Amino acid sequence: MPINKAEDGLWHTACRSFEYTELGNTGTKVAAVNGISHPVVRGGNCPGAGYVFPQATYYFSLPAWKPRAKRESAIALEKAFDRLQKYFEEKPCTTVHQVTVGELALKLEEYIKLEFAKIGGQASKYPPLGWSGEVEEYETNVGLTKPDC
Amino acid sequence: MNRLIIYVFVIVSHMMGYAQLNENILSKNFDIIKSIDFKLVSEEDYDNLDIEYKSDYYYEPKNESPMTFLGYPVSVASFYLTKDQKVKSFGMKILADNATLFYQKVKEKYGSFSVSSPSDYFFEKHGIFLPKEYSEEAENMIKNLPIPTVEEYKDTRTISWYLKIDRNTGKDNATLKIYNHPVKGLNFESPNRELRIVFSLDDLED
Repeated sequence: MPINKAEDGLWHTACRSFEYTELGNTGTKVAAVNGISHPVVRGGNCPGAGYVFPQATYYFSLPAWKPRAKRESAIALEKAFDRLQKYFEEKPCTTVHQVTVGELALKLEEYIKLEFAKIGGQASKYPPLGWSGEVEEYETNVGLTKPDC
Repeated sequence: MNRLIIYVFVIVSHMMGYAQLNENILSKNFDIIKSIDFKLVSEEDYDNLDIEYKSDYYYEPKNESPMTFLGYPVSVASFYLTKDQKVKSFGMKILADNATLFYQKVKEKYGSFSVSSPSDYFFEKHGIFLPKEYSEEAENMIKNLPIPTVEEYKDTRTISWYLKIDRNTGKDNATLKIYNHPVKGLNFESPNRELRIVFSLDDLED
């Protein structure tokens, strides 16, 4: 029997992007992250490029009791990136630009919500009621040879 | 009798090249590669061993010759299995002092990459600074971003190949994803890379 139920990959997103603070007595903790961006290029016979601009702030909510929240969150975000890349790669090849920037941003939002739901949380572009914490900038592990958590 | 069959299978597997870590071990029974250099992963191991993701088994060559990927020795690896002990995904670390040569070998075997997320270094090398905000001008710039050449594969954050692998039940989708890290003390300008290589099966049930 596998020890762990969920498989996941190595990641680029730094855990320190997610500074969770408890939201009153709601049993929820929230991390606000600004500036998540993701460039993507496609090779092969139909090269193309796309980019999710670092404009949005995401509010991530997890149960307050959830252990390893930063690590789980970084992995969830990386999985959302993986899904976005696959989506981009699978778009039919046309002579015009394959995917608009707006379409990519919407897809990433969809995948982030999906991956956070899978770890028992939520992701939204709107702050939860009563939240007044600090927004952290999105950080990566560039320059480190291991993830920061 | 069963033990004898397994023993013969293990020997034949090694003769068939399973001492190499690549897509051929995906969906195969884990016993075909397991050796004394494998360790069952416990919770504490995540703090003490070079494991970057949840795994069932950890591999570090101490007693036997290291397994290889495209001829490069694997320094550590970890494996995630399905409930019936089949390999669903695995990641490994290798060091390449000439990462371009490494990627030429990857391209020779797997073809051009499917999709990639280039690094800031890659863009800066091309004189490109990704815009912070959307504008029409920015969108036009994005459309014309350069595509990494094989010499630049090492300058990406991640680079992936989507593969089809043959199984008895038909073909499966698999992903080969490589994370490029500069070697400690060096930066992206050096040809050296610490490569984290992940093979995963997309649709094998746990």
